[in-house]
Amino acid sequence: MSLTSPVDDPLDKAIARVAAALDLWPVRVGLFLWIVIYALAPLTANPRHGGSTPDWQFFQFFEEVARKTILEFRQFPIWDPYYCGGQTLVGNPQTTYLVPTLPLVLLFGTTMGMRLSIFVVLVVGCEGGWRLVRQLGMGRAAALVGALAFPLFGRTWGWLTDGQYGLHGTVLETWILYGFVRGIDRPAALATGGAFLAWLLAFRGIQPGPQMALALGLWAAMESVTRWRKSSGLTLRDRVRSSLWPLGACAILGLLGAGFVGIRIVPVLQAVLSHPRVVAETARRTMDAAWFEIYALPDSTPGWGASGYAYIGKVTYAFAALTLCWDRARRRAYKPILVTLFFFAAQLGYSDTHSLYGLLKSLPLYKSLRNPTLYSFTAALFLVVTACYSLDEIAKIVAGLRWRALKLVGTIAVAALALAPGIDEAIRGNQILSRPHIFTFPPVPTIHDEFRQARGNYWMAPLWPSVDRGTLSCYDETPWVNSGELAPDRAAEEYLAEPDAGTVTRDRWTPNRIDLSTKLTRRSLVLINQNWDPGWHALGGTIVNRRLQLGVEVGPGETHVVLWYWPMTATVGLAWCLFALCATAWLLRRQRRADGTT
Amino acid sequence: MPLPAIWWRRLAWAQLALPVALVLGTATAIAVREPIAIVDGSIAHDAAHTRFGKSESQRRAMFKKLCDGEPRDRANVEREFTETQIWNRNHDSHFHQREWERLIPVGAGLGLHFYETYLILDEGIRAHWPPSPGIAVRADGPPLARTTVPLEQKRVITSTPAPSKAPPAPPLQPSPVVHVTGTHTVPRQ
Repeated sequence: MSLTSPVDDPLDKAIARVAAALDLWPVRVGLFLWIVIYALAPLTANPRHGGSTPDWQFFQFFEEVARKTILEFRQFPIWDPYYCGGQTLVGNPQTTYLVPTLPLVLLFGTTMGMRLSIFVVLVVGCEGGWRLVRQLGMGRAAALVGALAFPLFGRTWGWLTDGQYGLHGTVLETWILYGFVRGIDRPAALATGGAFLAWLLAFRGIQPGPQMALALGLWAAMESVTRWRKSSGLTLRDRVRSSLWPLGACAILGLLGAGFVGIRIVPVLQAVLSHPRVVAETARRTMDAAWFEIYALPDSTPGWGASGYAYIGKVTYAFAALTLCWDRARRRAYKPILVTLFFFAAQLGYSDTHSLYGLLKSLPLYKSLRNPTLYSFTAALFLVVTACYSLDEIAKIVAGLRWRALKLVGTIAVAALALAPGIDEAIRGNQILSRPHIFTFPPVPTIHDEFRQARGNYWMAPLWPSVDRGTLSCYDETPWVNSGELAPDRAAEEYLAEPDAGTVTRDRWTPNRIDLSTKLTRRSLVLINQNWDPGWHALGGTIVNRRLQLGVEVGPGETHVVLWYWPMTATVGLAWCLFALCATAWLLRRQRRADGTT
Repeated sequence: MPLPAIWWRRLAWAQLALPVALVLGTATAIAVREPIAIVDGSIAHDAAHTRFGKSESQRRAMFKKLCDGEPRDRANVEREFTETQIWNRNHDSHFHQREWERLIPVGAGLGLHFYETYLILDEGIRAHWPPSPGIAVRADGPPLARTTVPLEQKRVITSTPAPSKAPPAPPLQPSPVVHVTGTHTVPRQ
């Protein structure tokens, strides 16, 4: 019996066969599905109950409004009359409905659909992690870590217990980075990255979206510097062109991604820029928390209050540390390492007078992001990618071993190390989700009635759309400005400012459109018990902003008045979407031609 | 004899289809077994104006009980919280947090589902049903502005004069008129 591996060694063949199986996407996605099914199995409990936290209820509310608007009124969800006296729905950065998983919410109801949406996002994120690590030139063992350690990290379970629905879109960052890295060599892939950026942005991407923009910008800048250094033999023009391309690719991906959901992103940008979240905070994190505790220690580690927050697995963290220490791995991993360090620094918060976090807070859009610890979302991805490099180096060493027994043991060990973080995190996730208190908000029945504003209570948010009531009790991190004229005790939701001027009756009411009939003896103001917004239009009258309350001035006689909501920002967004689709078609066609010539 | 490549591919697809079918099958089974309930919330055209199986007079009595703790809750949050706290707004934020903690048990004690509790409260507010003596039911204060606004007086929706022996309602601050300019809501000086 030979101690060394001959070329046609059965061991090599077996390893190659397993590796080839993982290259088939149905096989590996099947594997990810089983792992995620196991982790999320506790979510099948109380399927019609909502989450117990106010955050769960808040996001369930928005999903229910979107579902109701589509199924009951056959309208595109764009205005939310059930919330704060009426606010933009499409422009609310916290809404989550314009995503590919919306059909699950429509089919299975809000509470179940939300859980299924998270399930889909996690599995898709796993596949993105695999592709990303493979695209970065690493082997299958490292790709397994990349596929599982980030999508199943501590926040995935924390968001589920806290009710931060939508932030699970963060795990799609794997696809965005994959699309970008691949797109540098193959521009059509930028559309793939853009599509997932669109998904992330529409799935409440207010936090991970700007974070990913920072990360891609940093990565692109480093790639540009590398290209400049390596292209000394080219003409100046070609050198500049080659060096600037990564930054251009980054911009193209961003424009395409935002464009795909332009109908949402333009109203959101308008809302965020005109209503910045002014939160006075002085939050800071200690170095051990920002760099170690929240990533390396599992949930509820005694003596470490923030443990488990963005836990990526002890093995993954150890590999990340090894990458930093191991010159061979570190040279390959310098980009994810530097991006990770950047986000670590941001996490320190207001650590001193010249903190990175303070600098970010001075930028437009970024000023609306709060809590420095939230920068750990994206840091976790780059920390995991950093870890993959040292495991990949180890896997290469093992693959090159000549001693058969040692190679067998080494291969098994590498496979175990590759699967360990994902399995560890899935088990912990299952345990965390098995706690009984997550879904305790009682099922909300449907009660059909004429729409009316109620005093409401945003702590009972899921109730109101289901019972055809708007809640004037209002809460949001976005400081919406709304009218103090709205009342929960109007005899009718549409009424005359001067009651003796005639009558007004509601013919038809839908969230985005209200049909009225007026009989007036003189020109008069019809008031609607909702907020005014520049997106409201009227036929048969003139829209009036009366102390931020929606009104329409109507002439004497019998008039059929139609009010409808469609903001200009949505039109701009649609145009952007069209442009992004045309640009994608052009990119794909160009790529096909290039492939044909090569 | 090793399986042909086509069979390996079929196996690969089957092991993908199995968990997908499991998830969709489970979700469908749950959706069929536990459909979203539809409840009739209309007021019956009978002499008692029944709604949720309760006559109007019963609902009026329930409304009183639901409102009884309201002034106490408002006074407590005004005492315990400051207006400058993040996202507090006229103390309504904290009031509504206290409100549901109080209302749900009171409603359950009256045999009401949580949604019936809120809809009866809504009905009473809309119809200006009288609360118990000494109790004032208020609308919320002016809504969120760009900066946290000072405490504003709530508009009284409905109230009943206090009986002579009952303790007086908490003292109310002068009611500033809200003046609106552009998109900012600012208290008039």
